[in-house]
Amino acid sequence: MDRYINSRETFKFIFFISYLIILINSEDDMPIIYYLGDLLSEKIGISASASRGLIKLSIKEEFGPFKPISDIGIREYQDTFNNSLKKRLQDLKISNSEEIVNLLLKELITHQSLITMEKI
Amino acid sequence: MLIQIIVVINYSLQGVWIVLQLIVATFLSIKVIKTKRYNIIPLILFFFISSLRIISFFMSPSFLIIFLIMVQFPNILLVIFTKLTFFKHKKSPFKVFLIILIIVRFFDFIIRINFQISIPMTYYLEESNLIFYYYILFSITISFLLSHLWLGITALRYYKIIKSSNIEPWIKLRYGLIGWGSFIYTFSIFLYYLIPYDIIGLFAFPNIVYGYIILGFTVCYSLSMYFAWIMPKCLKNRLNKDFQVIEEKEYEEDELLEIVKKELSERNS
Repeated sequence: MDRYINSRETFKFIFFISYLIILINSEDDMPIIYYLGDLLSEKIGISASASRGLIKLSIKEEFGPFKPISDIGIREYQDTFNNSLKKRLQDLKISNSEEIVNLLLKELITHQSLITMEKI
Repeated sequence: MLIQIIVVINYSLQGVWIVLQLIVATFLSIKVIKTKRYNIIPLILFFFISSLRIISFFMSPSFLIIFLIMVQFPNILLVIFTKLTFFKHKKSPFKVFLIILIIVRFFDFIIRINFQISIPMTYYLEESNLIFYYYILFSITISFLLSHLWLGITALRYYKIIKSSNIEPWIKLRYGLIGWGSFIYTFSIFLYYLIPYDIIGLFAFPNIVYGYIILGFTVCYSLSMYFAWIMPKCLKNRLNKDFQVIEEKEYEEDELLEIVKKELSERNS
């Protein structure tokens, strides 16, 4: 029984320590958007900040304004690039929009672990 | 007296890595709820099961069957984590690794339950059963190579790709710690080959020496995982001190599209 109580106390302690660590480590938001935004900027010749804005706008268009961008996973990025971003690039008369979207999708797959690593 | 000291140090070190891994697992569990990064779940289970199996083993010998079941899962979970984090929608040897691991661990379970084989051995094993001892060695080796080494190499390869990219240094360090930690830990398996099968008990010579070195590897691995996943804010700030954080201005849709169009026309003119 004592042993049971001790292990319960140990788990409580570990949980408490972990919670404290989370409180101390405030949120750092450096989404994969920065990386892909730089790439898009290079490909279509606009500033990196405008490219990132374009990606964020496409995400909002795809999933609505209430879904935080930080909650977006790989599948949602793929849908965004294939639908709203592609349409936006076509509307902006970017000649090789299909090729650019494919490159973004390829880079997204290569860098998918960043989505996890930057959020934890 | 000397033996008692050795035993106490051994148990203390065991306690260190168990607590470290439990803290990481609890931390990641809370993070998974907050961030919805569900691919982390196999890693959480890996840390929980790796630690709890030792606790269950020490708590009561009647938990042996639970211990033997728990031993089979951590490496499989680590392979699933590597797949979900680095190779989703991407070609990888995941299926082959998973099938090999399941088969190898299944026979590992059967052998352990029938012959109570452990490394080091806790009883004298007949030479006719020596093949089972070597099978367990083989099983541990395959499990480490397919799980820890795969994760280690994958993380290090990715670390190399992003090393010169404009990504926050603390994120790069996280890859480095996971990569090097897993890579180095893999090689602790070869120490098991040095433990003689006919010398009984962990605290007999030379088992105690190899046991301590393996324990050293495990503590280092747990520490690197601790710092990789629970990187203190002060360390992050220190690593990021030369990193230029991009101040992003939030634009309205029309405003942003105007800027994009303007920049595009400037580029074309």
